[in-house]
Amino acid sequence: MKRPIIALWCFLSGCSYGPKKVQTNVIPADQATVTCYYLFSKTKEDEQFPYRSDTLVLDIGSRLSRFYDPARLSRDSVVAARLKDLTENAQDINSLEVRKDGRAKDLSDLPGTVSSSSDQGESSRLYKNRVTNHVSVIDHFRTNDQNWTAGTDLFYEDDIGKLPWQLENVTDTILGYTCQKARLQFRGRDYTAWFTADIPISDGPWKFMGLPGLILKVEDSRQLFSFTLIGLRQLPAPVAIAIDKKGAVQCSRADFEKLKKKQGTGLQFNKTGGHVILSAVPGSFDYIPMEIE
Amino acid sequence: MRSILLLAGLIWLAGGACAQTTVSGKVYHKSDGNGMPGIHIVVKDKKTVATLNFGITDQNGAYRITFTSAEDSITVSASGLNIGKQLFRLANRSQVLDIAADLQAIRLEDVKITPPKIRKAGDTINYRVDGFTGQNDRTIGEVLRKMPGIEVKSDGSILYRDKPINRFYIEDMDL
Repeated sequence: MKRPIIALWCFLSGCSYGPKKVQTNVIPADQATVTCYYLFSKTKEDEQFPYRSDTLVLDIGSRLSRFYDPARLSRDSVVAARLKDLTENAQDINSLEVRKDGRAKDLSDLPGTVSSSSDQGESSRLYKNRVTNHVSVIDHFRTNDQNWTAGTDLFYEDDIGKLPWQLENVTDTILGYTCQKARLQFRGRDYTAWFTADIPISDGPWKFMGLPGLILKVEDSRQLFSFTLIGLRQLPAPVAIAIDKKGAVQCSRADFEKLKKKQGTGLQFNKTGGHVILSAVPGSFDYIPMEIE
Repeated sequence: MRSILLLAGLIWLAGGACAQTTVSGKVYHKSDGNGMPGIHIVVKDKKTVATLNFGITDQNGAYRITFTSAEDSITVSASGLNIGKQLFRLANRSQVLDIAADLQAIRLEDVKITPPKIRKAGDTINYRVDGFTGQNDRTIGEVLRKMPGIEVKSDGSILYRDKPINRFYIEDMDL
């Protein structure tokens, strides 16, 4: 009985019944008005200095934010574009050399080499909704046991809920902002964050959010992972944030992390004349997850 | 029976000493009355030193904060990126506080990023020239002398860590 009434109402009000249903699957986009730059440093257990530091970007909208590594994404997209070109313009290739595992060699000395190494930068993109406390994580996987060109985009949905931050009445000054200390236990690690009430945005790097101010610095108690704000810009014109999951496959967080651990060392591509070399990045890649629970 | 009454009395006393207070309400637009999500509500003590608890308004602009304080009054602040900050001095008792907010864009202080002066890529070391250039530098030699590890000889040859450099690029020009 209900359906004909809705159909009739739709008819009368001039709206169609069909497309309405589809719209519930579309994630509402937002517009970023503030961009933050965080230095993400990773240190190995029992080592004093970080083995890798990257600049990650946080675009903040009124509800949504996007956290990503633009340098890594551009390296990945250059390699992907060359691979796509390889399959589409096969006629100008005379020979193809594929080097994997033990035969992998460093091609960085050859002119025109493009490469993306797994241990350089972060390939995952995070979308946070501060109103619903929801995070979507999306990544591109090119696992060793798959065809190089058969890369898959995978994503998982993470309802992290309200994070149980413990505020402490300790203050410090970071980049001229007065910051307050907060502690959090999250999925197997203890974090200390410094946030400022002078920037009333309850966001921060990675999955961190829900404090009454922007997080300027956060690190875990063993100092393996640290995010520090190094730049902040209020955008003169808003930039759209849309969650792009086109062609991506949903999986669980456990499966996602399993694939992260299994990923190869990275890929190098070189084309000189008609000779193409595809080689894995030599060495090994050791993925250290932030979430151990 | 008497001991139960005594126990109840003790619990009541203990409860009275550190009673929980709940402040709840809604943040709404002054003009149209619509609720505003994502507004930070922070409850501090009388001297606004210690943070007692905080909350962030939900989709409908509603909030609810529970805290414990022995003081007679508290300070509640409401702030967000698109509203002006408001402060309320209230008596320390459970109550409803609805807040009418004015739209007001906040201007944040920009934090500028300085790229590193030296960057290593493979076997090439990149120096950011303007990071070393002073106002009085007239020749590239004067700038080069300031770069760590680089030595410019009187005959014009350039050494890096006492080894002559065979290739030298400036802004992608091979010299």
